[in-house]
Amino acid sequence: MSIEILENDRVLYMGKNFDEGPLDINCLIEWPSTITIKLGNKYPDDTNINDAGIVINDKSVILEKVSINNFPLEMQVMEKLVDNIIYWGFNGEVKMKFTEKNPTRWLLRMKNKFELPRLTWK
Amino acid sequence: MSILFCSVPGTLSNDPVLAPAILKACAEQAGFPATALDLNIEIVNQIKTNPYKSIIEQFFLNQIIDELTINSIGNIIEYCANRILSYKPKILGLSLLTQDNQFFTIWLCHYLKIVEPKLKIVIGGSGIKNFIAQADMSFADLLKDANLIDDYIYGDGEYSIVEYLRGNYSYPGINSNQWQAIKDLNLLPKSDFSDYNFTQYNNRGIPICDSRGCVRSCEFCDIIEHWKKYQYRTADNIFAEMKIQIETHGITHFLFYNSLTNGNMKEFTKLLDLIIEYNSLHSNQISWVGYFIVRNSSQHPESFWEKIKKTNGKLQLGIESVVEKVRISLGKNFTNEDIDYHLAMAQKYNVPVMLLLIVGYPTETKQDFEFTKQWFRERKQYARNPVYSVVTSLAAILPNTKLDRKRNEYGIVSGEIPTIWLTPESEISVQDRLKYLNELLEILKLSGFSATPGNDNSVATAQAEIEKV
Repeated sequence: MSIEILENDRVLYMGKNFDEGPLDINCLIEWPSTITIKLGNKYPDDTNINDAGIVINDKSVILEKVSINNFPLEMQVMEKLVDNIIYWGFNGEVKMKFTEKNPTRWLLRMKNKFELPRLTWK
Repeated sequence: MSILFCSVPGTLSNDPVLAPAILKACAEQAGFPATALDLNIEIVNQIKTNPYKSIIEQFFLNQIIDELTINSIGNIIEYCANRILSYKPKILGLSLLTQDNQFFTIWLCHYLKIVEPKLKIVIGGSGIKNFIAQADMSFADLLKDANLIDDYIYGDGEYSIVEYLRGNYSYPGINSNQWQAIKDLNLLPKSDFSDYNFTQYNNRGIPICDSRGCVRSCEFCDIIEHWKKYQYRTADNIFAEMKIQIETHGITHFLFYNSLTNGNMKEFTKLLDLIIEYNSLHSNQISWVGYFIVRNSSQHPESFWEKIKKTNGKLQLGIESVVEKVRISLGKNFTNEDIDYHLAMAQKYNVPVMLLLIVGYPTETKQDFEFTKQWFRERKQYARNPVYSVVTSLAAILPNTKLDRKRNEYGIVSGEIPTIWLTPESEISVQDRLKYLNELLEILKLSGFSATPGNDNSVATAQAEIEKV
């Protein structure tokens, strides 16, 4: 796969032909902002299906974690950010909209909590 | 290198926070310019007229983000950051009094690291742990790992903050839960409140720390696990500070921040004598409020009550249980006769008294609950005078306390949070204890006492946990 991350016309990140495994991408953006993630370099033979019709191999990007200035997004907030599509096995675009004037305001708006083991016995 | 010491909002108390003022004094004595800011009171005052005050408070206590208060909370975070950055500090020392300050610390640090990434943030105070006696430093470590803070200091911070400013990061307590207690409180500089605006406080008083730790060893208490040795300041040392604060701020009311004022009877009596002498010479008299342990009448004779009256003392008595055998067994070695003596003396000498009560202690039975209700019904003559308040707290099993270690002995089965536990043999459920708390509050009210649950959040959390179950 190839990934290109843009903020308007500004390229924040560009990369392709990744090794399998986790990849950290850090970007600096201006708030408020809309980020476009362009996915490409996927071809029909990148998806292997067995005789039973089950996908046994697929070239894809899976969005596992998003942190805003080290503040991790809760799963439901992350899913909301990308319209519930975190499995990117396609050529196309994903948009992330950060609508507030700063990240802290946006996290509040999204009701994203910082997970804290607080009152428990551990 | 300038440092700003700042209390983190979320304590929701109208009283001044002491830590920034004492830390400022320590830093300045060592040659580091410092400022002390009590942001807690600024936010308490800001939200007190907000129609959604209680919802905002839930953000501080439980990180509840409600649609109605998102803008207010965002404004509070930005206000606090702007206040902090207006001092242009190189280092920010955030003081967390309790775990109730934790959520706001996260959000504030998150915003500060965005708008001023070069600002070095160090957090400290007992609130950087969930429970003071717990070894676990997960909150502070979590924030440090997430780069929301740079460092943390645990335990007595007066010397460690100075070593931190000197760059000695290997000093005990810095980024570690291994800390050193101050050996002599008398050697510390006097708190510097010159940056505080005392007109902000409803209850204008100067906080003063006269001791740390306790002379008693109550099994439910985690303070004695934290400060294992009782430390006290001499009467002369305390009185010298009182005089400095009076001269500087013109305030003669003092709030003792401690576990008990009368731990060392010799020094305490001497302090009373010094205050009496002062009060006899000045129309603007000294008054004070502090925790106070009940002793027998020979240790607190009538002449002693006269002294308390002449010093305008207001006492907070931790009686915990009015069931004598329960109370003595938990570590408070005084009789019900002693309590009655204290109430009678306090009434005779017009000494206001607050009673602190643990509701549903693990060794209390349903019969004890009934006894307690009756005990208060029979003492309605003390309502308002001298008992100005009865503060009730649900019994909690705090980690690393004697009570925690006695769980097997008492047959306690712990739940998820300290106020959720069971003693199956007693057949008293958590719901029973909450019901008892509400009944007791009602009886107190009907008997004329002013009564409040001591920790609304723990009650609310317990109720929420029960509903979840």
